[in-house]
Amino acid sequence: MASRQFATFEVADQLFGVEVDTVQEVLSYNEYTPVPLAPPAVGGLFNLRGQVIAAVDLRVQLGLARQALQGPVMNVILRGDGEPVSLLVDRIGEVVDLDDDMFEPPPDTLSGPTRELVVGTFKLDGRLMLALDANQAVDTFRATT
Amino acid sequence: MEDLGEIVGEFLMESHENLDQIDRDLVALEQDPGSRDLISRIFRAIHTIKGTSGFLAFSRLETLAHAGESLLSRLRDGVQPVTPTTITTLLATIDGVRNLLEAIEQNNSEEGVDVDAIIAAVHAQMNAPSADAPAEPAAPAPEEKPEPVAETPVRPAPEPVEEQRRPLGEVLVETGAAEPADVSSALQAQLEGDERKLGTILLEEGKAQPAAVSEALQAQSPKRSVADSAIRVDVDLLDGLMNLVGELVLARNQLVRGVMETGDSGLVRSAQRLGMITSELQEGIMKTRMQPIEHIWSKLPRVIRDLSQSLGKKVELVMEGKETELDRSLLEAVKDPLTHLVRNAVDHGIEEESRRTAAGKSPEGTLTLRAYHEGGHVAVEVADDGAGMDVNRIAQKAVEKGLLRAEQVPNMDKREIMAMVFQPGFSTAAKVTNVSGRGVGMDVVKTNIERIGGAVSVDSTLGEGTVWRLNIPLTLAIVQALTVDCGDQRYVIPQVAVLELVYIDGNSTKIEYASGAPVYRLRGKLLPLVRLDRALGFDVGGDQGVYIMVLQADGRRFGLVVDRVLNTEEVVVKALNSRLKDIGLYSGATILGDGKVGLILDVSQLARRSHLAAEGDRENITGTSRAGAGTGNGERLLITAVGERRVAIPLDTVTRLEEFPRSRIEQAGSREVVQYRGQILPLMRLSHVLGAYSEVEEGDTVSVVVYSEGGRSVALVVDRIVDIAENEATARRDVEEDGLVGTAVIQQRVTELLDVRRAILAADPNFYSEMSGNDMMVGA
Repeated sequence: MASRQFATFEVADQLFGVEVDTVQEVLSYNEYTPVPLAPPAVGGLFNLRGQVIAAVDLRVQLGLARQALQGPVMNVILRGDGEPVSLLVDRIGEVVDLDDDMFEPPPDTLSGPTRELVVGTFKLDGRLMLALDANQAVDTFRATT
Repeated sequence: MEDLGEIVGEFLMESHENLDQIDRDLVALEQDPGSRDLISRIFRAIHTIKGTSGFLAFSRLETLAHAGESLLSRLRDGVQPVTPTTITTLLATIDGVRNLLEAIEQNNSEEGVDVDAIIAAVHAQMNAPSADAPAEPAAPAPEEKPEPVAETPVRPAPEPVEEQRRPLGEVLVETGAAEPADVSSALQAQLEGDERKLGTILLEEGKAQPAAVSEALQAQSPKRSVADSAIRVDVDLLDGLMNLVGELVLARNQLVRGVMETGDSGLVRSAQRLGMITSELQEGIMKTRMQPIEHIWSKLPRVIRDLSQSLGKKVELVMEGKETELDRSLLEAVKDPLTHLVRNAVDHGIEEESRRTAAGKSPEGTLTLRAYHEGGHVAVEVADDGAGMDVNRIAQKAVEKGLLRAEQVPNMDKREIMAMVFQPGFSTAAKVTNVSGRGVGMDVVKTNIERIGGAVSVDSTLGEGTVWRLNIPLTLAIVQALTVDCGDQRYVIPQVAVLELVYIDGNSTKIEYASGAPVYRLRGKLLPLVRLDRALGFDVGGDQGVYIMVLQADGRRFGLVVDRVLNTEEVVVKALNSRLKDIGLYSGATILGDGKVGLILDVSQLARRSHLAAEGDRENITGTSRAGAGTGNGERLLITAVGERRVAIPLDTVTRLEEFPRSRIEQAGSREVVQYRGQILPLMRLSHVLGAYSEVEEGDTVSVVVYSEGGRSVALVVDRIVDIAENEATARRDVEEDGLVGTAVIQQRVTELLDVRRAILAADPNFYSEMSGNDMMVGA
């Protein structure tokens, strides 16, 4: 049985996951530099070992209100296409091994901005995990168009 | 397949380098047709390309290279003389090879590039006992047929490539490792069709020792060790290292600050050592990105040759300082402007032979490329000894085109008028050629050079020639910048765009509105203003207690209103996520001293986005050219004595020089002040700020340098005023001490260059922030 590993995290009490090999690292960071006139989903910029990383607010991408960037916020840094991009999330979960038979396409009732980011649903014990399309999730121009 | 891709990539890179060399050698060969060395070198380079392309199965490339090689071998053997026509044919061959390589690079195949015509031309050249070649009919070259495509290239004998090396047999005999008789019999065997190499034959027949043969092989090619000492490194890897080093510098600064607080002398020493190592490391990494300017100059001999031939002119090219190094990204950016200047010089600068002779000059024009370090910049000059430009004609033309008003002209100096040629739509060329003269170009040169933080100027003497001069920063990765506050955020503005700063107190200096558009009267002229807070979509703040930064970009001058100007520093420019770059307000990002990310504002985009009216340009052209000309001159400095040290202050920051009787100095709080023209002027003793011992404490008067900024002045107390000097190309070295930007040798004496702003901040960190409130405090 084929299985895949997912890095999981929570946004607004919903569990999400991305395939673990798209993730560069996970860290908490305090200070973000806002980028005026950028798409609303751009939470800010921060300094990762000398590299300037753009943090994308996953809440905005999901059609929710912006995250208040005060105090430490968790970042899931995705490798991106040569350019690492970070996803701002509420809480980091575990890395889980998931068999393909736990997978189902997104439910038809799921609509709105979330629907475009989600590639499928995994049925875990007691809760559901939505698998995100990493490229869609960091596409900050998607939400504004 | 992956591996093959890498091999092809390497082949392309090497071949491009080889082709550039061939270009240069061919042009040189035309000057010196008898040079066997040049022919051999070209031959070898083409041969290498041919060999590798055969191995990689690029058959067209191989056929073409083979054709070129055949022609060259005839030149080498003296069967055919070197004529301009042969050179042209060979250059066309090289272009064909280049096109094929480009196609291979893009599509991984040779499809779509037709080289048959070139091959036919090469063969025609070889067969025709052409008019300019006094060809001997005795050498009809039987092996070459005019059927080019059908011909399969014959795999070459190894001999011609190795001709520069000493024959292996000779080396072996000389070292006594083999008998002359054995070597000649082995050579005989080769001639009779033995395909083995000479060394192999000797070894297999037991006529030489393996060790001796390998030693002889090494002695044969001493070049190899040079190639082994250099490696190719991916630029991305270097950029990554740059990032890390930048971060290391920040971490070091934080550590040093912490250690200083503990006061542990052992730790302080270690921290200082770490600091030094870090600085050296940073310098080393920066150096790896440097390349000699020769890289972009190498293409120019060919450009000049083709152009001067098509124009029927004779031009000699002289290169000086080709080893001068520049950051590779800058080299790329300078390439096109430089090529344009060179083409322009050949087309318009250097006259036709007849005109030159009539003017009493040598019929051959000279074009000089010169590169050298000057201060923190690299200067690149393109100088010709041609007709030069007529200042009066430029002025007249500028007036005709409406770029200048006639009454402005008498007040302008020569440099300012010359700088008009960089205005869009300006061209003095009498006729339009396909090379230049369409009025596009010089303004593009200027824009491109300014984009990388450089400057361009021109000087010309009618009848004697023209010098175009590019001033280019050493590296793009580090820029001198001003940090400013707007709202609660900090932004970075490249210093090259900043002309001056004005403080708006709302009384003596204030922002006015022309039908809603904010303007400022700068020395009687209206300066359009852009509010940074509005441009960034923030709440718009008040008009008092703010700063106007007078900026210049794309030939426009405007004022940017910011809340606070903090300081100048060198920042390391980081790439910005491409999506964010598209916003068009930011040219990059940087890591500020506190480790946070700061956005670098794109000044020209800011001007454009703020819909600055185009009419603004015209009014400001005088100012534009003056600023342009200013960069060509050395900066004027006021030299003062502070204790035993010589301290230089940029003259343009100085308002007045005064002497005050010591008795007039009063105390206000902890500060020394004097009453001066109805104002209270705070004194700042440079000897205290710099930690120098002042020797003349006992005099009756004090010498002060009055420095004004934003309506507030401060008097810098010095021991005495020494001189005013121009700081030409002097050695500058940065020292890290508060208040000083560096040291330079001025008038044969080591002199410290004062950063006035930083010195004031060092003495009084609140000087700028308290500007508005201070007068009240003193008055109370």
